[in-house]
Amino acid sequence: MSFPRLFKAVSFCLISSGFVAITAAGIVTWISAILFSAVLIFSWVVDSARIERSVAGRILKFLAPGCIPLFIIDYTLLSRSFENAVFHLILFVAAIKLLTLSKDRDYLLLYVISFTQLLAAASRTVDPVFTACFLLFLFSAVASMILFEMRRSNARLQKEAKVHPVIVPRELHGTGMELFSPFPVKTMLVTCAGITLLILFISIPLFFLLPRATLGSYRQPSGKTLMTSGFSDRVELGHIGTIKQSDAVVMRVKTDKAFEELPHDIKWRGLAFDLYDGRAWTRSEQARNPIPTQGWYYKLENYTQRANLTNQTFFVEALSTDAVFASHRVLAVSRDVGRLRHDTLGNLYTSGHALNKLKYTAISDTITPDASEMSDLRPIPEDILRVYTRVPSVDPRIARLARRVTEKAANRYEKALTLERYLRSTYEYSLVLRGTPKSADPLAMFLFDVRKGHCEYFASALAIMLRQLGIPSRLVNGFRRGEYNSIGESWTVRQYDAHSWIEAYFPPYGWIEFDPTPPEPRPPRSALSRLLYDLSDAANLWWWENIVNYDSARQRRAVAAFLDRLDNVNSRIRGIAALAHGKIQSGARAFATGWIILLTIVALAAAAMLLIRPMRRLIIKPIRRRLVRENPRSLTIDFYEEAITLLGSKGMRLVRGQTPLEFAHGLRGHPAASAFLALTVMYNEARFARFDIRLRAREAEALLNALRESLSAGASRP
Amino acid sequence: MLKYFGISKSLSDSAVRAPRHLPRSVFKDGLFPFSFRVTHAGAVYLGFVFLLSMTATGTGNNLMFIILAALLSSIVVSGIVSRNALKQIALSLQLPENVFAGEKVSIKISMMNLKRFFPSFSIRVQDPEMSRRESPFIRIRQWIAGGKSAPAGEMAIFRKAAYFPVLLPRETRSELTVQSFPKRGLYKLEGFWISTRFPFGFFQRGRLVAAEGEILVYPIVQNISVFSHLLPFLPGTIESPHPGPGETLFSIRKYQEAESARTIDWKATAKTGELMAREYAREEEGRFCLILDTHVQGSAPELDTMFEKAVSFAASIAAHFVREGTGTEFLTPSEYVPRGIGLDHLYRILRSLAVVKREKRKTAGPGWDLAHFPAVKNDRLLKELFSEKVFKIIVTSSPRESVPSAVLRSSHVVFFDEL
Amino acid sequence: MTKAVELESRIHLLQEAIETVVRGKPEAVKLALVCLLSGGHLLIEDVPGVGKTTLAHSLARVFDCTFRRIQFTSDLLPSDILGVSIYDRSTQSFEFRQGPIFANVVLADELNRTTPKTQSALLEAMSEGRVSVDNHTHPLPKPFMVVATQNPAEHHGTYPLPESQLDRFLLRIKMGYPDNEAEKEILRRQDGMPAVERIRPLMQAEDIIEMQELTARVHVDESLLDYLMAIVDATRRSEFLQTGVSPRGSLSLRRAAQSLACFEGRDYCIPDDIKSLVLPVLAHRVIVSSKYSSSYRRSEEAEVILAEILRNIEVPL
Repeated sequence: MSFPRLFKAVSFCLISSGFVAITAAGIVTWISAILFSAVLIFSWVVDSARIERSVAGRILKFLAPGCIPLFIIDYTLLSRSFENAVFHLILFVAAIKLLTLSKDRDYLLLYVISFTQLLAAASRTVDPVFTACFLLFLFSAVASMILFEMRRSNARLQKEAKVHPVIVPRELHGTGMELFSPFPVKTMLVTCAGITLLILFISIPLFFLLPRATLGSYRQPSGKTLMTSGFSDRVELGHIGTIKQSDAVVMRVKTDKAFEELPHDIKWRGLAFDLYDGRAWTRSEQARNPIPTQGWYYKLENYTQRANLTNQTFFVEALSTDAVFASHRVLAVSRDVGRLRHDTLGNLYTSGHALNKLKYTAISDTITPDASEMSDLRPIPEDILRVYTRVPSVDPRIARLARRVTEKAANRYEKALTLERYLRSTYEYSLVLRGTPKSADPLAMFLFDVRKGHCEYFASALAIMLRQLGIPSRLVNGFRRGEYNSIGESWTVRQYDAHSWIEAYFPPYGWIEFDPTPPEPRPPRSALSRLLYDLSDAANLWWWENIVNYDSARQRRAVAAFLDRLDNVNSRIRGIAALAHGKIQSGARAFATGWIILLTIVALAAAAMLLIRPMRRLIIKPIRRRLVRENPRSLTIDFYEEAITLLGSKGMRLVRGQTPLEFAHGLRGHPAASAFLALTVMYNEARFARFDIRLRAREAEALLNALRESLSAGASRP
Repeated sequence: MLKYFGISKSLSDSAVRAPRHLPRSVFKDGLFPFSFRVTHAGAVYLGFVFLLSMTATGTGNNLMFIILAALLSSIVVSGIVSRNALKQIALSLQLPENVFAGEKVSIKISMMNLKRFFPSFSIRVQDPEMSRRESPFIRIRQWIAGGKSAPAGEMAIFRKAAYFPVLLPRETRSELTVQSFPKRGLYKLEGFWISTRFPFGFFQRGRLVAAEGEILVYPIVQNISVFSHLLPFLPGTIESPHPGPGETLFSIRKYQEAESARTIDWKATAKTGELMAREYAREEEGRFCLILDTHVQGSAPELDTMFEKAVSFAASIAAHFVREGTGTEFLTPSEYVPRGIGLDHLYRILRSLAVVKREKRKTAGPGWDLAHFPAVKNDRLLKELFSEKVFKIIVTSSPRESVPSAVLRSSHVVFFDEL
Repeated sequence: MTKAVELESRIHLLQEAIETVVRGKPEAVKLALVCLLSGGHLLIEDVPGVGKTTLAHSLARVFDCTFRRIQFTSDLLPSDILGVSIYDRSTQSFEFRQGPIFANVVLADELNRTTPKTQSALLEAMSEGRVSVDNHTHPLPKPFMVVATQNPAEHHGTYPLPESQLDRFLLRIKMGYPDNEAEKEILRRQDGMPAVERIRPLMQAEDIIEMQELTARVHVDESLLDYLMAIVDATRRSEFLQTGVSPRGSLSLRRAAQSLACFEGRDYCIPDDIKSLVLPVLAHRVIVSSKYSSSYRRSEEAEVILAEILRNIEVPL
């Protein structure tokens, strides 16, 4: 491969990596991707410098400003997103540049474009495809810059030569680029790979060591905002049902409790509602009040002696709601949640993250109420009773049903448990969404007619029935525990995990959760897809947690921890070793992701390439020989060339200016020397005397075999 | 053949070593300490990195930190790699042995990569003087000093840059460049300055590879016809009328006893009936001496130009006579070259002419004696040279009157102002 | 095939016979025989006393033919070489007395000591194969080979042959000092080296002529001619050489290669034949550009340049 061709190849690699990255991230449409690919291939095959000079080039340059109206159309009508439109525009510019490549600065522009594309993709997603593009980008950037520099140095020299007329430039060498031939492509690529690895190797510690000033204020922008029905100001019965169809991930939760320790019914509380108007739930009080902070946290309640504390870290996607999720009862929330407010219902609100992902930590006390402590003798505070037992005019059958079911209950708490059990066992779960006619009472329809529904109905029914019994209760919307990802050691909560339940007030505990909904069937997922998903999910989470959210606090902590270990030599060694080992293990597991697929593809490609040569020899060459009537002379040359190739594979090559016999003599001492010498003598005879090698074909074959044997014998010898 | 300036190895990289013959002021010349330079592209790159670092620390955006880390690490890697590229490089220069001023000469510069595993890319070789001129620091210093152009570098041997894009481990590559030497004289090789912008073109790193070597460049030799207005005749071989061994027939006379039978001319014998023998003419080549009087009165700069013309004229004369096969002697106040023939002898004369310098006139007197030409060791030889036995061409700036008449009779004098 | 083998054995017989007298210089003997078989003239450049005369004489001895030695001095006349027409008074006519050149093998010792006029007399006779004196032509014997010697180190009072004249010599060899062992053996012997006279003639002059004809028929493949021409072209284009190889030179190279092939029992040439003969056949024919050399080192420089050229020319496969 010559130098100009290599240069073009690495530049195109660079351009492609950015392009593939944004396509995979979904920033540009597939149509534009296909069109751009066509331009890329065309530009590779054709000499674009010639196009640039030609009429076609001028037409293209004339068309270039036409991109602006296209951009406007795109933005307003087609993609409706500024980012997408901008990148379509960039792609268009790049395409025109590709077709009219001639100067150095054209290449530079395309490199910058590719870099921008990579950046845009980076902010969207970090997944195997992106990482592959990133590595490819880095490698081809290194290679392109190196080759670019060589081109420019050469041009500089030629320019100097022209400036001094006394000194005759390169008469002996032609245009100067011949200076570069033959160009050792393999060496160059290996060198570039080495440099790329070195850069990666050094940038990793650099990344962790660069000083951070702020406290992780990076909110990773998310491309999509998840619409979350059920977490707005007014929730109609049935809203939650709409989002339960989707398996989009809402958040991931890491807790300090092991998988077995976490109660299986733990839920991530979102918003509570207190006012029911017969069709929808709302909140009576809209005021949101600030929360005092203490250190890194917003403090909501004091810790009590019997507290069963659970530390949870939430990684929430960009949501359309400003609710803050945490399991009941929240005692403290970390300050990186943003501006935290709460209301009298115990709901937590942040400043909204419709565009960004959010990460925060909450400390909760998971109460396990002791039934023996529940006594009706404890009075319920007046204000709570007032607010939380209001019931609108509903079907009277509901109250009758409530009383009938809880006849036998000993106290209020027992009544609540009984009703919960009753609803759970008597009614069926169904996700079929049904609109209710305006006249009807949806709860009554659920309880008496349809007798099946989804969680909202169960929860609302229980809440209303408890209120009618005089027990303060409120509706709570949130998410169920989700699915455990053993690789990432995190809980994955999806939209279909959205759930409704209730909280009822029982002194001395306060609000206690009740969930009357029968277990819902989970959508089946195959083991393979689960594994693959878990892997990539864990990787995403790791990246986000440790890279994106790397901030000065973490840095300081990391440095402090490191310094601590420096004090004790033994534990330092052991500590670091253990740490490294653990990190490698988890990191390896995390990163040994569904890139198994990627690696398999690469391995297959490599195997294919390795097999080409033997394949050629075994299959293609003999076929060619039989098809074409070879003249004896080329047969002879083939014969010798085969022997040379055999030797070449062992690293022995014919030097320029050397005759075959000199080459053979030069092998003296090598185990294959005598075999090759005999072969060379025969070749000389066949070649230079008027001699047809076919007459002694067998002998020739025998000589070749002897050579092969002696070579392999020589190789096996130590 | 081609003079081979022994291989200059760069053995260690710990410190740049200056060749010993250089004056110490070279260290102040801004070349050695600044073996590392930022290019235009590099300045842009650093500016971008700076901007990025400001933005990154400001926003705390970890994506920017990733990029920043990569860019910074590229700088570090660039430094490591370029340093490695310049290590263990040996260079050699091949020049023809006999070079004339103003003549296009092809020079072969060879670079050898002594490393076992690592290739070197994109290396540029220059004379240290040339790169010194490029250094911005030098330019600033000169501008401050008043803009007098640096005289150094004119006597550098290697006058053009060469570029080697690739050098595999243990490989040698050569480049042929064509250049010419502007003036006659002694040209010295100070060393080679190798520099590279590898890998990314942001920084340029250079180092000096010590070397020693020199070449004498002969004055311009022109065809004698150019000076036909000064030399109205072109002397050749002189035959002297004496009998002796030779090739040309001199006479036919009677054969004498005890003479070698070879001399018998049988045709004449047949004609006359008596034994006749041949006699040949002895060839005697006249002596010829070229004299260059380097004593010049005064020191005006025009005299320099005249002197150069005189030297070139002398060289052309010498070349002509030697090529004709005439035994030539050469005399200047500082040197005497005895008679000789052949191309080697010409080069011998040209070597003195290459370095001959103008001298101030010492004695006020007539000047055509031993005191004036101290190179001639004894008086007898000098007398012989100035006698009629030797035909001379004299190039001098002395006035016509000062030349003794005896000398004038057997010579042709060319005065500086005639040239 | 068998003819080639037979030829080879005959050549080796000759070689062995000569080597009994000329010790320790197998290469020189081989090249001298190549020259003989090619029908060309040999130039030996070397310091005195290394056995130049012995070699030439033994060449002549080994096949039954005449040998003459001419010692060139500065006062030698052409007639001393070619011969002279003597007037016989009794018959009243001129009688031509042949000069020493009329022999099968002529050793022209120290050719560079004599005047150019005398040199050209010899060289003309060499190239024409006959002597013209007084409007009579006298053909030279067949086979006819001139072995000329030059002492390259001495310059004083010499008339070195210009390259254009040297072109007439097929090969130029250097004898060199014998290797240690051989020289020691020479010193050991009390009675000096066995006399050349002790060599028994192995064949006749006609046999040599026959062998010359056989060697001329050795097959030279087209690609080898290309190789040869590539070399010759390179010498003509090289900037270090003022004059490249003449067509006579390329012809000589081919002819010599054919003879060399016979040495190894082949009736076809291989690239090695050509490559190994480039220096002996071509080095004395090229003129090194004067600015790259001083004359006294010209012959070494020519060889260096030719070697460099050979290194850069690809051998045809």
